[in-house]
Amino acid sequence: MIKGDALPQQIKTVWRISAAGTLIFGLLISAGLQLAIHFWHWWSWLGVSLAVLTILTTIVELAIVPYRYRFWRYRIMAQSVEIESGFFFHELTAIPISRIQNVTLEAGPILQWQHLQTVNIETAATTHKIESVTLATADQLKQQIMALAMEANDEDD
Amino acid sequence: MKTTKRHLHPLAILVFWGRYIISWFIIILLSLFTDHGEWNETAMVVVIILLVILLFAVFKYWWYRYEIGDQAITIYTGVIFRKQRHVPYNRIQTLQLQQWLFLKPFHAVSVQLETAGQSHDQAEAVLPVVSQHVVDQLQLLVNGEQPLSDEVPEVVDNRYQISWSDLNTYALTSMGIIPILLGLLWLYGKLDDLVSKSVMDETINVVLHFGVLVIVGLAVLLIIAGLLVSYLTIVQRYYHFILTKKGDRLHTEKGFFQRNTITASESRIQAVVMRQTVLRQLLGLISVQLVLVSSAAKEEDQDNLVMLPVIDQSRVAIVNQFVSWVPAKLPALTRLTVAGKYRLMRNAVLLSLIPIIPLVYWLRPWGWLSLLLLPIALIMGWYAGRYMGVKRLDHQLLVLQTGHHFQRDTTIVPKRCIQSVTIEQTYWMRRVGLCHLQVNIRHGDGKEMVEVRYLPLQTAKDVYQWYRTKYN
Repeated sequence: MIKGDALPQQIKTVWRISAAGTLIFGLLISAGLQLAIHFWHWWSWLGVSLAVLTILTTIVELAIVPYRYRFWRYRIMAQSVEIESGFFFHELTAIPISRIQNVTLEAGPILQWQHLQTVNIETAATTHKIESVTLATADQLKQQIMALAMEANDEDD
Repeated sequence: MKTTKRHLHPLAILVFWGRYIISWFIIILLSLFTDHGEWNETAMVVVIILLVILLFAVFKYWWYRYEIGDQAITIYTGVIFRKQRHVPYNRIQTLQLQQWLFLKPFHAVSVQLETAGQSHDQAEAVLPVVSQHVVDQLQLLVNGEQPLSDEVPEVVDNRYQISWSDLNTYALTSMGIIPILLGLLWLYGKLDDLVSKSVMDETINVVLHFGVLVIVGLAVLLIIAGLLVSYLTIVQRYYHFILTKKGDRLHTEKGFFQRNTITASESRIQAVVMRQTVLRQLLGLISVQLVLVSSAAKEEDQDNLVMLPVIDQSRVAIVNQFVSWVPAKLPALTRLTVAGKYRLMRNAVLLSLIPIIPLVYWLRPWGWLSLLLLPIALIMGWYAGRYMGVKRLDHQLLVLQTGHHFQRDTTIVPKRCIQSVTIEQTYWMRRVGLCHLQVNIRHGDGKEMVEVRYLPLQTAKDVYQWYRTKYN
């Protein structure tokens, strides 16, 4: 694990709500399928298996929330940004500040309600995501990365 | 410099007309069939349609204008929806010229200028047909190149021209179908031994009865025709391939029906890839390609610009004469450990079981044949493991090698062109100290990820640290 910052605590709530969203969405589709089975005689196992699958996914999604939170780290230094996530599927990424082309902040309704923002760090080839930071941190991050990016130059490394 | 809006070469009308006719071809064809009148009425309809299309082409020509300024080129297009594009010269990544055979006598060329902007398969600035002196003027502004004159011969620093035999080898070894055909032939020969004579004869009798042989003959003919076409296409595309270097600019020139010239400066090259399929590897041949921020090479091998179509492995040092940061001799790479190689083989075998198990289970007598996939998968895994490797050279270069699907790619990438680096590791890999190293490079409009799999963690960490820190 790198010595970086953890995501804000509120992200757990966001993840739990999005798990609930999966549940509702999946159940709605299952209900739709139930109607199709009733009216057009589709395979009857279709609706039930989708409902079971949805419930299982939701349970797993809810269960891994603490695990996801525990292993998410990011670190912004003078020369590079590092993002780390996962324990069973561990990923560690380095993006030098000088390669950053732009930084995009975005927030959907759930994140807005929790006063959080997602930070997208874009290079010429890739986009890297810091899942969420508080509004104050987001702004600070943006300033910091942009200031460093202004200084940094492709030539000086 | 005077900046006036100029029209394209008048031949552009013809080119636009031709393009419209091709894209309206279906409509023209339909009008031929739906009309049941006299033949001269039908001809009349076609002529009217062609004239209307010609009118469109003239409109397009009339509103297609460009302006060559000191700093940028501006292109004005559109009749109803007007569009202006400004392309500053210093942002241009590649300058591409295309000349169809029939435009040659008129000294007319198509020009495409590309920047790093993400415009999806389309060049930022296109001049469909302009005369050669406009091209000279643009080249002077973009590359600082003096136009060629007849008295002074062109001075180039380095030059490579493909020989006929090399082109022939390239075209022959480019066709993936040949090894497949050889494999099928071999299998057919083996079939004779495996299946008893009477069964074979009976089958053939049945086949004869249905005249299937005729169909098989036709299929073989089709395959041969297809092969010939693909062979000729490649020969046509790389006909008289010439690579030159002048200052820091690389020029490639190739093609018979359409002469295609691409100019890119050395500093715009994102990476150099040395590619060998197993067939070329056996013949000791190598193909050298450039990764550019441009879709100029989208018709070539996996969107890379082919720099040297095929050369003998021993002559690979000449790459250095064209791209100076590529070392003349590649270093020995850090390879996988036995644990890594084992995992690649295991994965290949597990993957091959996905089709094998159902085939053997449900298609019993013939399904057993799918077991042949097993040794192929094993060899494929071994091949991948044999050629995965990585090495960083001095402070600025990274050399990565990957092997998959019987193709070996050696990628040489300067540190400044690596956009990000990721180390991936599952829980089970951590216990044995292995990981995947992913290096992201800008390629065309998107990204190219070079992944060295099952690398020892220490080696990957070393690359990661080197990349992350500014100096070391």
